[in-house]
Amino acid sequence: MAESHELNLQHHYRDMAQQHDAAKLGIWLFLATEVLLFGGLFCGYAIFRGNDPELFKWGEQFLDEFWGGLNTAVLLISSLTMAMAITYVQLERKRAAMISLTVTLLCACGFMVIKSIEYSHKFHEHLLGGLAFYQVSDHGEGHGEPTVALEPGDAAAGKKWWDAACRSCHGPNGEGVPGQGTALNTSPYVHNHSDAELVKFIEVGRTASDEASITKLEMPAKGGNPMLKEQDLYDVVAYLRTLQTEPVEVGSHQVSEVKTTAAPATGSLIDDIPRSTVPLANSAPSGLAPIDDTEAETMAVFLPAKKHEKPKVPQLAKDRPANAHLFFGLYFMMTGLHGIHVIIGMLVILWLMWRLQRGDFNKRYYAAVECGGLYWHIVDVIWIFLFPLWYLI
Amino acid sequence: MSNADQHHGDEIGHVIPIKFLVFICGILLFMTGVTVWVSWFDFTEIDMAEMGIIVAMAVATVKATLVGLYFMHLRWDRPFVGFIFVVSIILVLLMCGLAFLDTNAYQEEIIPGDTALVTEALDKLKSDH
Repeated sequence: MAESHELNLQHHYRDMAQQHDAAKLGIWLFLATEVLLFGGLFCGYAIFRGNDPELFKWGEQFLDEFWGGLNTAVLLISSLTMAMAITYVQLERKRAAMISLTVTLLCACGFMVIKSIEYSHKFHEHLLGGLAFYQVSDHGEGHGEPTVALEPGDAAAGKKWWDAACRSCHGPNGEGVPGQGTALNTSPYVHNHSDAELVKFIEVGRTASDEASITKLEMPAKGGNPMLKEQDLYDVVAYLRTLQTEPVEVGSHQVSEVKTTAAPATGSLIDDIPRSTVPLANSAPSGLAPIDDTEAETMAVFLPAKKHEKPKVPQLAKDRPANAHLFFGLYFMMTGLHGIHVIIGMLVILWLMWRLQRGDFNKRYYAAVECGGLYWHIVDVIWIFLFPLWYLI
Repeated sequence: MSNADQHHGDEIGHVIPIKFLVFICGILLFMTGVTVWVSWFDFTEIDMAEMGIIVAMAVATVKATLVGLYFMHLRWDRPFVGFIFVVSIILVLLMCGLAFLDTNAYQEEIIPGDTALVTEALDKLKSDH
């Protein structure tokens, strides 16, 4: 071979084959670091899933396996056309190579369009990074504003605390124990107060000598179990809600004992929140901002859906696990980082198309196409794992 | 390879026939379909709740291997290239293994995303205005 006459041979390589091998070695080292980069995230996924498998089974219902599956197919086809482009470049069939690269680019665009359909829906629900689930900092900065009034409490978890702390005085089904604790299943007080208000009440309890007390029995703070955290109290209240029957008015003074000092509790409507997404069932009737009829109708649509249908907005799901924010945080981190790789891959493909058009490549000089292709395939391989992990299992 | 023979063997690298690539892609798409299909089964009924994960990961591994071997030319490349790739995967598994040693010592709620506090913060926000 007359290697020395090769136009594209850099002077520090012996021949074209060595130059080609060096380029491939370089890109493979880079791909190894990509594996390590995503490996860290997969490791995080494995740990969180191992610790809380229920969380991922719950969260999966908010990811559409149709879009995920379609994206898998789109990426696989783009991988095929990328591999075809390399074959065509090796055979010096420039036009066929150009068509293959174009199809690859179109598939990449398709992938991003589908991704943005999924993302924009979730952005709208303030799920980016699981932000909707985070506690707001005191200064209102750093975590961003809370955007939707959340409906807290997991009744199943609450039952555990009910049996441990409340049951001895309020009965197994909240029917009360004479001389011990009042009936809560029919209590108008429970009926008329929001979850947050009830939690506040349970937190401090009430002495027997308190004027407002109708039973003249002591309600110890947190039911006498100081270990309970605020979330536990919300769970208890959620369970208490499941025990509710029709409230029975015992005395008219009862309702007036409501001591809503500052603001009305849950169901708060912040100006920029789409009102239709705010849960209503447990909000304090007295505290709601005035709602006109059309709005009330819109909201009513959402009420029946809360119990029986699959929730459309994860924040409103009754069975929302405590670590819901983790699910969405990790989801956006992993698919987002992958999406960034797809965008970079698209730029690489554009660059390859430009060089191909310029006539740079021939059967002995096409390392750039092959390296770009390798990068594109690793993006595909990562998605091959992301798809089942997030959308299927 | 056959198409390149006319160039007296001075080509660089292995040329994979288009038909073969399409065949591999067909297998990959079929396996994707299988994974989706299997995910509809309820393995808890036959007391194998983890089966879905195992099948999905096994299929994904086979798919990734096919992409690596054929689309990424590893089958015909120098073994050293494949070695780099395999080592990176082994390192990831090592990292996962080490990280898993103490996962049962984690707090239940690793990062506070306490929704009850969000509600409270909303109340506060409203009373401030």
